[in-house]
Amino acid sequence: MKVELKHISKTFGPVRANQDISLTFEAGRIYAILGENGAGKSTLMKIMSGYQSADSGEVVVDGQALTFNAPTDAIASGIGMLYQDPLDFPPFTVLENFIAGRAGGFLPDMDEARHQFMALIERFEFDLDPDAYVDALTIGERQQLEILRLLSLNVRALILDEPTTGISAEQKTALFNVLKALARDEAMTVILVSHKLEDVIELCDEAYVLRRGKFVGQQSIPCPISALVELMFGKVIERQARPPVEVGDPTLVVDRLCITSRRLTVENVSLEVHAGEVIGLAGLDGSGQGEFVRSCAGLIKPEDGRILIDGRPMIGLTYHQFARAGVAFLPAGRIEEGLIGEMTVTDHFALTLPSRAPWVNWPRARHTAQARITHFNVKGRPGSPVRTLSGGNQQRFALSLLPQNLRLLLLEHPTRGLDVESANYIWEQLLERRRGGTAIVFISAELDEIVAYSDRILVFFGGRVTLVDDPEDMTANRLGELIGGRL
Amino acid sequence: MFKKLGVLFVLVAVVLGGVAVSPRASAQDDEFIFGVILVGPKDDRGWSQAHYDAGLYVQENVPGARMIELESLNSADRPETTLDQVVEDMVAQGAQLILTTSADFEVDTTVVAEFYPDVTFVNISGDDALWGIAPDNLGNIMGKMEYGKMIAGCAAALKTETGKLGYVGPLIDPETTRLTNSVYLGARYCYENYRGMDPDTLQFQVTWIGFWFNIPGVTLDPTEVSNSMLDSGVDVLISGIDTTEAIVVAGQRAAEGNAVWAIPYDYEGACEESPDICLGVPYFHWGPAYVELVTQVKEGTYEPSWDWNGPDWSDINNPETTAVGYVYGDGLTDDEKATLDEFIAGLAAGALGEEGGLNLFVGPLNLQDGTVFLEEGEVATEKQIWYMAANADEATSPDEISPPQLLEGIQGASQ
Amino acid sequence: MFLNAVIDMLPAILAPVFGIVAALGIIILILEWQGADPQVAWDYVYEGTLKTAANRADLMAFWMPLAITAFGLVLTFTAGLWNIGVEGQLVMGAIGGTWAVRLFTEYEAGKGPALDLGLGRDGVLILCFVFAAAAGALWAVVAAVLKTRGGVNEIFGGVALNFIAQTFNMYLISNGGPWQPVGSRATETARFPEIARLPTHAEFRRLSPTTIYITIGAFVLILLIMYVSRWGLQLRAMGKNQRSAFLLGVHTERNIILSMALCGSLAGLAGAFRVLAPDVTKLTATPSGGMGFLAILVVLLASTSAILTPFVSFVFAVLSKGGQRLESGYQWDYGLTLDRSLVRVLQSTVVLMVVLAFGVRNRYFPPRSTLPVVDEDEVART
Repeated sequence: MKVELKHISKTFGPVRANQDISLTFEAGRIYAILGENGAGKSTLMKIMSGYQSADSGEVVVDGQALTFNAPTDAIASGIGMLYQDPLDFPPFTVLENFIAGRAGGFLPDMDEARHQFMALIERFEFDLDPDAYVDALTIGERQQLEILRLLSLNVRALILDEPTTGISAEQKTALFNVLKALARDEAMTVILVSHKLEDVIELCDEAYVLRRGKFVGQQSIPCPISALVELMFGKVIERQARPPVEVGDPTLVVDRLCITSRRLTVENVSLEVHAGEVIGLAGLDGSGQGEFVRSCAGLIKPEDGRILIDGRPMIGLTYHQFARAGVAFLPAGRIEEGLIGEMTVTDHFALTLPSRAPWVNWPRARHTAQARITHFNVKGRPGSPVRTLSGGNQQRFALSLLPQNLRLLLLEHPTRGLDVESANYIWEQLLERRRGGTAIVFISAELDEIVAYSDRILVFFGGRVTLVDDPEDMTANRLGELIGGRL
Repeated sequence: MFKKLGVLFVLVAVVLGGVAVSPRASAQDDEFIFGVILVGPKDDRGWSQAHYDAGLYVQENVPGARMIELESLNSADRPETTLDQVVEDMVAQGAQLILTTSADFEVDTTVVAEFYPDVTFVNISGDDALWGIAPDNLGNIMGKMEYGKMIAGCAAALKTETGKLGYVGPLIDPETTRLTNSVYLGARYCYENYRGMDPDTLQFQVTWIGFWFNIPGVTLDPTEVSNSMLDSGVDVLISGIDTTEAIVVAGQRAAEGNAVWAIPYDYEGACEESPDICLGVPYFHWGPAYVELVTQVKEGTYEPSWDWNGPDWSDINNPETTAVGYVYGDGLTDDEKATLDEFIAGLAAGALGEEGGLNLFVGPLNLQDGTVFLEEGEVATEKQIWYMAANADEATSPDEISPPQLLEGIQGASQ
Repeated sequence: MFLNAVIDMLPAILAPVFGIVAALGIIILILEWQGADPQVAWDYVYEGTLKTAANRADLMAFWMPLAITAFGLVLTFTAGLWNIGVEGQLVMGAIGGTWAVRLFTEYEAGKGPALDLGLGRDGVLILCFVFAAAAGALWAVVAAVLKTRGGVNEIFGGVALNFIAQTFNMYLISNGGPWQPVGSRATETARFPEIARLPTHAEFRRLSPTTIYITIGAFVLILLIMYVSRWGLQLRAMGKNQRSAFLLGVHTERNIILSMALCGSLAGLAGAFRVLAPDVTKLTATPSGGMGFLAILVVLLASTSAILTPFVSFVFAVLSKGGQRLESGYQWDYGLTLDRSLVRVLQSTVVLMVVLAFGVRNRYFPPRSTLPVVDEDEVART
């Protein structure tokens, strides 16, 4: 089945998730949709599967323009989506889940369903017990169940969102074999949304790459991983010459740090960051760099290892104690985490300006707000609710809120969603702080940003860490391979 | 800010702004207004409705008498008001007699009565007038429900197949203890004398829900209590609470095919909930006492006193004369009714002091803690029965009387 | 600038007004349907609330505990905490106050105080309020710690704690419980001795000025916290976005516990008002009777505005007292039985209509402040 997306646009408030995206998916081929978090691929797939509607543009199936009001509409048109967290009903059995979502009477024909189910299982060599309860299944088995369910609904185009997360190597092989067979033998259209470039290379015929809500290019596979990385992250630009910085004493010492989170384990990271140094953390989303930064901010308690700020052991201390030691953390999702959208610029200063008095010194807060937003070039008034500021202004405002004399500044995607000018401005401010002796550790999905501003680079892949001491020699290919897991 | 306040004041003014005063009923010269304050709903088919119906009976039988009532006065249903405030409203409305029909109003009635010396107060089921500590304008009325409860116990004993009786009690106080003991005495007597069984094998189990009626989240749920009693093998449920859960539950279980019966309480028509499994109902009939009271207060002849009114033994169901009665339910066979007639005749003879009459409050009787309530052959006095305490007669004030206790042999808490 | 502020506030003011007017319309329809002349209804409401000094006193006596409970809830709702447990905190306050009376006065004639500190009336009453506030606060802190340490949502914790408080109260005073006078037939404690009674107003025997003073004091405290203090600002930040507030340096866990404790102590004081009311002076079976839940409605209706709370709670007090008079008035003058739940229907209708009005406003007239500010430079760049 041929599926075309024509001029799809979708905005969420100020965020342009998809901008005029047109893609064609031919029958019998396997496609990858690539892009960093926030590139707009989830939104696009949700539009395609009827979960959300586009602001403009259309979905064309076999030459016919269709409107989806709900996922069931899309399924009726032959498009089914397999979500990252399977949408099944755990208290029911496999067979009961299998027939969920079918049109038909209140009393489904269980015998018929069982017959159909067993036939599908045999064909794909899945090992599923129709009478087992779903909550007893592994994620991989639930995924298999969901695929069978979608196939039984006569889906002709299958979208899979990060299907290889949390399943075993055998299950992955089985899954890929099934997908290849479906494309080859039944001319099904398969679309894979994934971060895992190796999976993409192994499975797909064609990759479409999105960046910042726009379609930026496509690449036929097979191809080297670095080709995909270059499309995803942009060309690695020439490193700008920078005045050398006097590197001071170690501000942050991380010693054999181990972090276990729900998603992955980060193992045995050691790093010394000196005053005035900038460390860039590179890696595909969810490779452990977020956990690392949050541990250094006192937000995640590491499993093992030591963290020292100015020689003082910090493990076991709270986020607020880290803050008092001169550590600041600026998360990526500013409005969700970091700023309070409903409160005004002045409110934020009233909240964060250090004061011993039990009351708020409003004149001082207003005065400071005015002074700082002027200095940081924030477009807004002291009385503006922060939610009404644009993304760049929010980020500049978040920076303006930080205390003056920081020892360590931790940032997640400091320029994500910002235009070039705003990004440059942010970096001017950061480098200013660096000159004042603040050590900076930042995560970025923009390889050129990392190469341009970092004194050293820490590359994360699947919780493992490689330190790049001298980024001057770094090439796009090399960095791309590191991020993609080729050491 | 001022605007906000301004708008709110306008609002309040709108809410409160009295418009035109419309004509309405006002106290006429020949009218006698009496207030009745009920603790529960006036249609509860139990205690409160019995009082409300008595008020209607007074309106029919005493010319010019008009009742004003307030139902459900308790802090859960009406947190915004107190007895004091209701009495003030009633007095302002012209009430000259106010009946406070619950034990929960007893203390407050003694306090409030002092504020309105020209109004007569009567607390139903209280005992303040007995001790001379009540204000001069406060009297008490109660019916001798012990007899009704004895008949109920007898009916239950005649019917039970499992030998297990369940009593859904309200809260523990002298009155409820007295009535529970009466049921037990009636049941034991009839189990032994009419069924020919060993009365010690009769199981009698009490569960107190905590109040006179169900208050969700506050009391035990009488529906659940009734169900779990039936689950434990009880086949006759006897209600001591103001409302009808016991018979309702028994009716449901009977409809499912279980051989169970129930005896409700308080209200003459209570069997209507489920007539077929009803073994009758001991009920209060406040009408005659109320008529007498209203007439006396109206004529200025009422002397506040403590009145404990018994049934009219010539016909315990005579609506003109009796204070307590017992209506047979459809669940009784004719034989059982005849046996009950005989039992009632015996009680009547005993109450009237005739030779060979039946008095169940005769020793030897022990209390639950093993202490002696009545010595061998000792006949209980009114005060001993009222307080369910052996030392009630020696006491000079109610404080000195021992806490009430259930009789030995009853399963359930005395405190 | 000032005009803009007023225009911004206008919907906030209009919504409750619209809600109440709509509710009044519905109430008139209900009355008509029940066969009651709505004209007279206003007379009855007036008679039941403001007509005589005694009416006003009774209204006050109901308004004060309602208002002080609502003040506390302003804090927790501002901090984003649904303190459903306020009902139980009020009950615990009533119990705590009663306990102080039992400890420090000669509760049973001739026995002397359990703890004889030689206190006069002022001392006893102060301890009574302190105990009530402490008991309410303790109950609130349990809910708060269950939330911060046990991960139990304050709503579920609160519901459970309400039940426990009410059950404990019943245990104390029913079925021969430890606080029920021996041989008592009522579900309540004995009346408090003279030394533990609030001074009453010369003209109104059922009203004590003390409760008014304490409530005014609490109001001032809440105004200071909400409009002047840094702590109030922190609570506001937590209510809007607890995660961000934490990252901006607010000690969220400590503030959850503190705001709950303060709310609980104010609810506890309300409990003390209830048991110490001159026409009560005892612990009753349901000292709250749903007043905590009513206060939650008040705060929701006032959109957690501290300044509006006294007025909204006044409206609710009027609806409660007036509604009761409405019922008895129609009954006694016209022999017309209105449904007993009418009072609750009145209150619920007001809340429902106001909430509906806010919904309509947010749907069709979003507040100006939520519209993005146009950034000319960025427009030019794109």
